[in-house]
Amino acid sequence: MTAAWYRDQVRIEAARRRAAARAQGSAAIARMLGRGETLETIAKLTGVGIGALRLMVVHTVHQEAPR
Amino acid sequence: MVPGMAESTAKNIKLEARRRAREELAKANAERVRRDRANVEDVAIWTVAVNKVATVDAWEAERLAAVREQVRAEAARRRAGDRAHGSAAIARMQGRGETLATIAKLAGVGVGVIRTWSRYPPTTKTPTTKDGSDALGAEPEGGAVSDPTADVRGDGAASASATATT
Repeated sequence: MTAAWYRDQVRIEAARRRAAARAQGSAAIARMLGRGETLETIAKLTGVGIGALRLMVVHTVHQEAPR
Repeated sequence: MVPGMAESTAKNIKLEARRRAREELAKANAERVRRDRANVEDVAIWTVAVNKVATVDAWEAERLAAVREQVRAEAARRRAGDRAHGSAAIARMQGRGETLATIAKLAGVGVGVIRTWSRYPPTTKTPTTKDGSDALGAEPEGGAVSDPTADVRGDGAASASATATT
């Protein structure tokens, strides 16, 4: 197994872990939206910009779409 | 209708309206408290997820650096081996009475190059066409195999199950 193989494995695993963490975060946002909270309220609660939140939700939706 | 009776009815209606309003308010408050608690929980989950992403970024950088370091170490080891073989060849020629100038002529390089190579510590091992493995982390002499992605398989299952639950 070459260095390139290890490098690819690390990158693949990192991408998988990031996707898992983003899915968890996105699910939490989805639950809050389901309880009637707006993205604005959630942005206030989480202390991040509404754009970043929207991006996270959209990102996860796009990632999960092919499944 | 008796005037006193009408007054009493109005009073009862008022009391009933108050009771109903209090109940509705309590219900709304309880619902709000329930929602707030759930929101606090989800904000915590979201924050942990964001931190996890940052941790993964750091983990990736650390692992890639480990791979790079292993490549460098392996390259240094191989270079040292090759230099030792070259140095030993020069030493053997010198042992047969050749001068550095003659060896340089034979090799078609400058004397300085031969002198530099002759300074590398020689090896007694006979050179082979293929010495060592191309595999990164494969160190058969030491016995231990260092794998930069060793913990990939370790906690991979945990992350996978976390994904499945969401």
